[in-house]
Amino acid sequence: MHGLLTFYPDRRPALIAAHKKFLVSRFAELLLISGFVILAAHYSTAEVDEILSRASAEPASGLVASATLLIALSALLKSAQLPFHGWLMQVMEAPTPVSALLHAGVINLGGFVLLRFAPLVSESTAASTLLIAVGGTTAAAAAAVAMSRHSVKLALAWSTCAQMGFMLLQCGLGLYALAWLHMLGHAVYKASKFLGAGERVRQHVQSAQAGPLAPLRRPESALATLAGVATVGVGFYAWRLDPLQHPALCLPGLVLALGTAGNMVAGLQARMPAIVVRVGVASVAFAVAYLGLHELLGKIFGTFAGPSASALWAALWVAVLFVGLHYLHLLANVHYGRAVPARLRALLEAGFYLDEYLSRLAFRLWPLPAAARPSSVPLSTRQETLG
Amino acid sequence: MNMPAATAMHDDSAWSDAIDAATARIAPSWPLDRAIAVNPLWGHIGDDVQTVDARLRTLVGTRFVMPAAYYAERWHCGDISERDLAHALDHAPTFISHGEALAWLTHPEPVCQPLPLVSDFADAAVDATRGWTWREFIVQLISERCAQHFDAGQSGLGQEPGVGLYSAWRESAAHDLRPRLAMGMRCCGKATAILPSNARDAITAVLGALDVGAANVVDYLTALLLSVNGWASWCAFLRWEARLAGREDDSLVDLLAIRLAWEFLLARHLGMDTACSRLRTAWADLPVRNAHHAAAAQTAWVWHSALEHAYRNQVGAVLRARGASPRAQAGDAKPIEAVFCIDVRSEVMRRALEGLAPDIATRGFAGFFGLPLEFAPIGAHRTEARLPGLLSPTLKAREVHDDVGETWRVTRARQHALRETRAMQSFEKHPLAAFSFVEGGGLGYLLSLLGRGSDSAGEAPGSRKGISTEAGAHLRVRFAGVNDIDRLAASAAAVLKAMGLPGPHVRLVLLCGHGADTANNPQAAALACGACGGHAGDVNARLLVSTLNDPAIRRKLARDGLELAPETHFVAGLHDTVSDRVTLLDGDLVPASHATELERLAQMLGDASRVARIERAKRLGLDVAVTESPERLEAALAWRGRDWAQVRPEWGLAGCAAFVVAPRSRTRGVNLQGRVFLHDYDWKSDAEYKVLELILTAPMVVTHWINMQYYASTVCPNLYGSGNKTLHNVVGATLGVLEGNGGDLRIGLPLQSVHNGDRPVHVPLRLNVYIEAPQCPLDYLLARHPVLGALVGKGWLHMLRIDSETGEIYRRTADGWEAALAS
Repeated sequence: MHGLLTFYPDRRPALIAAHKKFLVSRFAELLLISGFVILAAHYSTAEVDEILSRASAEPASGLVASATLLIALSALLKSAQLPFHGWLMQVMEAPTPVSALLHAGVINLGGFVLLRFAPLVSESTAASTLLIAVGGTTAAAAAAVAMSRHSVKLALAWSTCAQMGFMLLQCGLGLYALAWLHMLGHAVYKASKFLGAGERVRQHVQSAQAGPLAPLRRPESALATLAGVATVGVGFYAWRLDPLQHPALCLPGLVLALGTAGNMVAGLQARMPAIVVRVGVASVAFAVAYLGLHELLGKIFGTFAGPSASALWAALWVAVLFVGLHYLHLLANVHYGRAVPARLRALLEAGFYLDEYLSRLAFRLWPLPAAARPSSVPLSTRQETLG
Repeated sequence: MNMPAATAMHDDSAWSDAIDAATARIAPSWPLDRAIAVNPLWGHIGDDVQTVDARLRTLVGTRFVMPAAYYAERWHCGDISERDLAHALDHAPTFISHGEALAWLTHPEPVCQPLPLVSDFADAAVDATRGWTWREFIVQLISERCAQHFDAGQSGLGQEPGVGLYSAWRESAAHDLRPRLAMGMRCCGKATAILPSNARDAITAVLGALDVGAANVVDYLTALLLSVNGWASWCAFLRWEARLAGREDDSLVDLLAIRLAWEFLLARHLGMDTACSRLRTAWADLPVRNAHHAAAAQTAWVWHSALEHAYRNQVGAVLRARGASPRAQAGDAKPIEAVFCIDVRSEVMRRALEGLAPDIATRGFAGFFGLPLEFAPIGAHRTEARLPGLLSPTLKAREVHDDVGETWRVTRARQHALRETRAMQSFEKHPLAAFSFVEGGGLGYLLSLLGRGSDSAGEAPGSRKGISTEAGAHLRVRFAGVNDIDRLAASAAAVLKAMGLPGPHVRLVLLCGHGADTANNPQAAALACGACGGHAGDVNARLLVSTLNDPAIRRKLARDGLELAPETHFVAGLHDTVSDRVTLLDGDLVPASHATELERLAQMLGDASRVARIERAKRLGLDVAVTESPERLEAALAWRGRDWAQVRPEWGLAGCAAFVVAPRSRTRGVNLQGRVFLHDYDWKSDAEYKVLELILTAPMVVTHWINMQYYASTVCPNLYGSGNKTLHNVVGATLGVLEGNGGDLRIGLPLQSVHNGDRPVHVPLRLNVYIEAPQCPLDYLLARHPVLGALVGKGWLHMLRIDSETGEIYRRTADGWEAALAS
């Protein structure tokens, strides 16, 4: 992978991105190995299945909990969660197929390991809480930053970061089947989007041909939001899901409700009755089908216990962020005349300044080779290669 | 610290002139959805090309000729002969011996260091292995700011409140933490606050503080603009567009102010006095440096001239061989004529068509067919400017259905489809809906990933949602808003005068535009028709055809002395330059009386396509086995346009090197290898040389732009080319591409358009314009139009005159006309 990322070794940004990726990955692997060694030593076996079956047989000890925490941390690092996300954004410095491979394949490794150790994770309150807090925060924050990006590949990259956060959030909530599906679906989807990123111009022309988006009045968007929540309520009812018995499902339910609301808003903005109906029907059908899928997967793969009540505050925090994100989207795209506050915009544009720290660390730990020093005449020296 | 009071001592208007002079040097770069070729050095054409080369060496450290190794290879493989070299040495402004020239091939002048900016002084103190350099950092910050400011639809945060670029920067820079976090620069915010709030004032103030010397200011400002050349070119486009509409746009001055403000901030960072004195000392060298580079580059230009001479002679010999221009005889009137765009890709097709069909004559004319259109596709909220970048639209056209009632229905259906597509995109684009969507629907993309080229992102080339094939067949192009037949007739008359009337025996005239619709290609417009503003030429061709076929217009034209024979009928066509298919448009409107000719034309175009494809397949390096079967070859070429992984659907205009303005008889039957623009012109029927004037001021400038776009993208790929296509990242939905994550906006052609991986495929030669016309009008027009005078006199293109009596060729030099070919 390092070879692919440094495909063009004279590109300094490519090199530092590769270094960052290398450092974060190796550190994550160190955590994973430590966690695994602890588990292996504790249960005196290196077979994962064996470890899991023994763990389920005996009550969790502090040692096992810390090992689980290490594994969860390693997954967070491998999935480019805030604030260790910088390398994921900067791998655009490598050719498009390499970006696609990273965003569709490599990024999933952390999630894969986590899912493999699912029984342990769902037993560990600390690990679950960590996953909910970091994954959920990243999901909301990175999605907001993705909205603020100005280039197609960076918007895709930040959205990967957000999607991985959502997947880890689902792991933290014990919704492993959905997390699995999320990982697979996202891999295929994102690979396709990266490889097709060159269509951006054609899309833009089409969107411009459709004309400007109509602004909505506040009651309209409020109604759409209510409709979204109601849709998910109907979905819960249709599949006989009791929110009190499935508390873990409430957070994805909220996301589904707000997403449905967003789709309905987009339908309303088209200002053509037929489209309002079709988008409305499609989003309701999708929401109900989504919950059905969850039920179905639960029946096939079995369910895990949700996180203990102590993770509630983390879940609440994430819920607030998601509602904020919904509001931000309405503010920026639906209610014109109410601009996004300048300070918030600047913060999003800067990616919360988080990566600056990581870049500095990467430069310090692993300086670029002297050969990649930019001469004060970067143009003419590189020009020679064309001759 | 306050801004020094030195400002007041300088004449503010002198600074203002310097700002204007420096910004005038930046050429525009069009957005991706209507990308057209442009000479990136258009702002420098007032100066000699070698002076500009020296300037680039001094200011950016890049040169405007190829590296020595390139010429050495050409010399050793025989592309440059002893005679070419001798000719170039003879014409060199200073004496260079044959031995010196040969020695240069192995020992060229050393790589040049550009004059330093304050940011370079700051970089001297930075360990580049342990952090970003200031140069990188500043470009990155400015690039992000520009992307944010000009974003045309990528960001979901909506447009920034409407203030100027400079004000927006000044506002945000005060709170930006990045200079501190990434570069360790403190109190950047306070420093920006003391800068004047107006861009021009800020430039004046900082120039006063830095004091680079009054004589050097323009070049210093140019160097700053060139350090963010991509975004500067974007701002120059905004200015270009504004000026065509009679407005002004100051974004470029804003950008300059931002870059200069960074110089000021860094000078403060380093210590104002030291920085200023170092800058002053370094820039005092400017005239010496320029002179030194100009002298050092002489040999390079000798070799470049030799290379150009080789090609010029080769083409010149062919043109001269025709001798006196044959007079048109009544006997050789052909029943079918085909008018193609002057584009070099038409040359291949025209040669093939004429070779196969003795009854078809071809002609070359600018592909927008003289109609500067603003076109509204049916059901679309946005119009398209289908005209050369030099003009602003004067005519409006729209797409309608044959049946007036249906027009409304199709409009509505199309608009519905467009809006529904966009609304449905919310599932994947809404920041929250996207989470559930990839779970529920992500796997569905497996099919698109495996099954085809690109995903469902856009409509497949050529198809439009909401418009059925049946309805599509009845869509026509009409003038909009103009019912004034006089005005239409006047437009038609102007075009006919420039294009030439078809003879009285001509029964069918094809007006053939060209286009190329390529999948997953942000720079697709660069392959379409440049004269149609980066669109296909079908609309203009169809509109002119329907106008010229209109009996009322014909009556009007006849009254003006432009009589079209009643049996002459026009038909439109579109040449797809990727697959080399020619489609006839509105063929159903051709009367039954002309069915035989129409059928003949269609058949011969099909045959010609097959021949043209084989020629192109060789350049593209297609497998021989594929080339042998016409069907497989056609399929293989068409697939290149739809293949989402194809970085080189076609070679475009790579190789373009000459423009021949002469009757077709001068070039008919000659293989010009798809490298020559061909414009038909007969000076004998051009009474006041009005047509010649038009050709020199419009098509010739356009061909020069195309030629220089390819030239500059080949010789300065890092400054004037857009780099590697596999790294391209569309910014602001349509503004341009970045290479990778960031850095400056990249303008010009990608590496893949001029280079095949081993060597440059485009041979960078300045355009050779061969004109068959008497000497007097040419001299008159060169004197009358300063732009033409500059292009020819300052060495931006070579102008050659073909004498129609003898076929002899003369080249315009500084001293007048000289025989171009040794006898």
